[in-house]
Amino acid sequence: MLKVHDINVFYGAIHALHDISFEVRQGEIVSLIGANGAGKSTTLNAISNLLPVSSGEIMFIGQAIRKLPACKLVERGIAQVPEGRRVFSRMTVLENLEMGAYIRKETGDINRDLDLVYGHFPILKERRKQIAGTLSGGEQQMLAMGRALMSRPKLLMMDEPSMGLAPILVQEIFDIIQQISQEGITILLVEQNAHMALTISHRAYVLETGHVVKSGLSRELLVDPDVQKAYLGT
Amino acid sequence: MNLFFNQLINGLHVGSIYALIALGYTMVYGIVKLINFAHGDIIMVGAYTAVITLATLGWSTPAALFSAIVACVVFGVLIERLAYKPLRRSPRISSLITAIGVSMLLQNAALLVFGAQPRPFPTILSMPPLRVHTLQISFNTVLTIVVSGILMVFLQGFVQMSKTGKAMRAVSEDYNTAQLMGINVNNTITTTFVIGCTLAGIGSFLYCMAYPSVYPTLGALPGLKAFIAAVLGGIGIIPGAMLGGFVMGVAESLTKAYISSQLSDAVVYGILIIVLMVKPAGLLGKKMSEKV
Amino acid sequence: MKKRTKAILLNTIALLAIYFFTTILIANKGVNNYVSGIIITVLITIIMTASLNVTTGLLGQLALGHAGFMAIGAYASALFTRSVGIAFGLSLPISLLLGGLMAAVFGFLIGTPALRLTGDYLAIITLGFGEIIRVVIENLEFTGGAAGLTRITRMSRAFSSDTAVSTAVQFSIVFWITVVIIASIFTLGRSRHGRAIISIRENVVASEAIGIPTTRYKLLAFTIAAFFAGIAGGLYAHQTGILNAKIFGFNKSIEYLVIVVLGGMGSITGSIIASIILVTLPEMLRGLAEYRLIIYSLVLILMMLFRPSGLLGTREFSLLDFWEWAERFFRKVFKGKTSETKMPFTPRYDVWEEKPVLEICRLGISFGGLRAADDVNLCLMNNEIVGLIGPNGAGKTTIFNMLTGVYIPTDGDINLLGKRINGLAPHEITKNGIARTFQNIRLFKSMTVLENIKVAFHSRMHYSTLSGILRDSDCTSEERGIDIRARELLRVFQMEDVADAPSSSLPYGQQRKLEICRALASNPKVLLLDEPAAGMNPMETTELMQTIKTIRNRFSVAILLIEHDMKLVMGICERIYVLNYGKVIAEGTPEQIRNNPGVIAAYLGSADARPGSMGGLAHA
Repeated sequence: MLKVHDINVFYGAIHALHDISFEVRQGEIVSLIGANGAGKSTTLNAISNLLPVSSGEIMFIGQAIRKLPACKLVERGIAQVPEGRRVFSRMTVLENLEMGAYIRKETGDINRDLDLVYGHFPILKERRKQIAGTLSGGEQQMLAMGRALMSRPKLLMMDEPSMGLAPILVQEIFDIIQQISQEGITILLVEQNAHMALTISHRAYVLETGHVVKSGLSRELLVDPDVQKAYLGT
Repeated sequence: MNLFFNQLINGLHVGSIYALIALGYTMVYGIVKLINFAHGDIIMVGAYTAVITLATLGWSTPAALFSAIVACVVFGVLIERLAYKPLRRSPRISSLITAIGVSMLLQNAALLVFGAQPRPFPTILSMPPLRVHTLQISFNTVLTIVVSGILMVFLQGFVQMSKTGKAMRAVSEDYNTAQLMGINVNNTITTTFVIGCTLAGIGSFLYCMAYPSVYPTLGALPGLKAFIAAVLGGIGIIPGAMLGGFVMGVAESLTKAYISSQLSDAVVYGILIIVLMVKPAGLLGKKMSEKV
Repeated sequence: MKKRTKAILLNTIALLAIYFFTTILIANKGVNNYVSGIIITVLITIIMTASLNVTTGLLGQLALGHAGFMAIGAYASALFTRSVGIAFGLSLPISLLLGGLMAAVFGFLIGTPALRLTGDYLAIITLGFGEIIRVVIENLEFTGGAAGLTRITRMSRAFSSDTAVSTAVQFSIVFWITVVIIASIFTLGRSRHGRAIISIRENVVASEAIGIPTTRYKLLAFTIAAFFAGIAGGLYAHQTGILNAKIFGFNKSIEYLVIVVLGGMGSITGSIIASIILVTLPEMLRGLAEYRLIIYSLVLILMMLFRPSGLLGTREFSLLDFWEWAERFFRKVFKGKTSETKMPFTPRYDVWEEKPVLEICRLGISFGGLRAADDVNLCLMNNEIVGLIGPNGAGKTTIFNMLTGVYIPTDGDINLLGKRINGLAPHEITKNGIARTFQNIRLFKSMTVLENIKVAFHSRMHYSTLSGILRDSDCTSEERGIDIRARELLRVFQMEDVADAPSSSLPYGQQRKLEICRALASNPKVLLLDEPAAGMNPMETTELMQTIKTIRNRFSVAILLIEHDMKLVMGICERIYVLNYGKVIAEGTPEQIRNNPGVIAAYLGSADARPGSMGGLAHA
């Protein structure tokens, strides 16, 4: 579904991503793991075209998307849950979800999806008239995910969903990610929490200072000694 | 007592014009965090368009109004695309200086093309004044206040409830995430400018009806005052611009009447300072405290 | 030293050459009045823009009323020379000083309320004050009202019956005053006071937290800028001989701001060059009459579009090195000895073995109706490492904020080393012995690693602003001591080799270490760490645990840390407090907390192992 081939991204003079290549097949959960500063968020932002890609190719469902403006990607079926949630804190929960469905026009379908999102995250229904900035960290994470789901994406990219959340919430979020995957949405997951990421994903790529250094089936990487030493702390 | 009410009404009159102009400032600031110094000079563009179409070309009033609005919008969008858009990722002070440059350019170009001699704005409405008790209110005043009021209510509703309005709010909060939603931020920003300039066009027409003399630096002073009004009410907040405009207008009027005409500027600034000391984000502003 | 000596020599020769060349030219009627007038205007503009750069460039705050201070200085100075009967040669310098001081007084009076605001609001308020000054001057009688002030003695006439000679004297006066002012601004920027001001620009929260009294320094920068503007005003008055308040309005302030931005905010030499260009350019374009201002505004727009950081950005020429060298040279020649190194302080290690160093009793705070913290009791003994955990929104950072003076508690007491510190300002609390780091790293990005540490020593240093400007022995001896101490500190953290690298170039883990290192510079008794492991992988986290233990051992501080990473918390904390909904729900050793059912339900999740760096209870 998504094929990234040899992309390079620069922050001014800093070469942030070096010839990164990976792919995500339909129905999979793929995770990108690595230390802070390894380039994981940069990769997602490059795919979303929030960062300019200087060379390489990005193909989504057979079509090149590298040169598309960022706002066109949602139409194609890519949605991102950004790092740090980034909900529209001055708008209500419902308005945030409506923003997620911005590109869609059929009100009937939108309402149905709203109910689906409320099904995953009942607390959002409860708080739908509340200003998003007053929600707790965990609730904001759910709102950000729900908002992304409202665009009926084919590919859902999530940037560090567990960041700053209490351990008990992390489990909840990851359970929901699995549920979403079972509903047929392909997921690309970027995570600091390598163990969690490898447990729920099918395949994974390990990033280090802008390079892909390892890849493979998640369950194999989980027991790989190098990976264990660097990222799993065992 | 009569004097007081008269001045109050005058204040509301001039205040509503300030409010219309202030709305343009505040909307643009809200979405791109830019103090558009050239906004006042857009008013001047509208004024010249109006006076030329009315006086020189002899068009009808609605046509002249329409052309003033079109002129303001065209200039505003052009300036946005050519001078402000390239600087969106630059430090904010650069946009500020550019805006100042554009303002100077507009003023001096007008000076070159039209000359410094003020042109009289023809009277277009001669309706009898209204009488309320012992007060006599000119029709102009009523028209201005009513039209401004309607526009403001409409604008607020638009921003709060329409899809485009919500998109504008989203872009003003988080530029990048708004793009992730599929919002075309360039178009949204242009729309904001269009709305702001439309209001400026209408405002310029009303301004000329109140002060019927058009000259190249016409926009500088009301522009500055409208900007102060926007800050007074809380910059970036639409109801704040409206409130600020009225407060400015009334304060100015009352000072001219009761204290001194020369000191009216000082008093207005003084009010601004006092308000900001007590409410640092403006009358309706919410303090966005930094998360520590 | 050779390269420096060459640079210094070059600069000195250049300055003196310009001076002598121009003076002789003027005295011998080589240039007409018009040109010499422009030269003086350029110099005055240089003073105005350099002083504005102190507020806008060094402090980083936009001020739009700078011409108002010039006006005050101009009128004060002019009124003085007009009304006093002493010789002009004597009254002029006094009047300039008077003008500067009057402007400084107003700068102080205006700055005190205005600097409580920031950003665009500060800009607007300074604009307002500038306009009020202008309007008031225009309406006062003794300033000549709207008609203005006339018959002010002109420097170009007063010193000799020969206009050319008098004009040359005028040039000398203005030139050397300009040089002195510029040099002072440079040395100020390099002193600890300048560092303090720059740190406010970089990150005001961190600056306050490491002990800089930010309000005081904002005011200092503002007042100094006003002082110099006042002097410039005095010079202006005695150049033109007439004053009219109208010219000191908003447009003039904008004129100077434009020059500062075009030269590069934060670059004094940039302001100098831009002043020269932007004063002479319109004059050279005079022939184009009506197109002049259009060209000017087009140049402005194009400059911003293609080079928004200005001509020099924040870089400088090395005029400074010359001054430093000259000072040292003269001192060596005249005083004959080099000053000793004054160490800022010797780290003291009080012994507080039985009593808690930090004691929180029944602490509470309400925000409107929300009770963010309630009846919190906590104590910290010397050399302990204590953890504070709990779900998001439980109130952990709120407590930190109360401990560091960001919030004022509604109830309860905070006692540090026996002293009640509720409601003290953050920089005072730092002085008393609490230091903290932040969840999102707040380094002073444009400063080097070493400079970040040096700023943190601010509250332990003593030399005055004047010493800093004059770079006298107090200043240099303390600076040398600080340099040694700062490098010592970096050595403990094995960061001495990156001392001169820009702090923004360090990898994430090192930046975090630098922030902790900086917090230790103020010699605290209590160190608060806010989610230090945020964003770190297990390897970095293990390193962090080691760092924290080293700190505790070497510096004899008590450490209180907020964390979500259970491995870290369970691994190094000796005691743990658990917070939920603003209340302490449990306290104990890691073992006790791990098995506490209430804590498990609220926060940790079920004990059947969730593997991984978070919540891995069986492995922790």
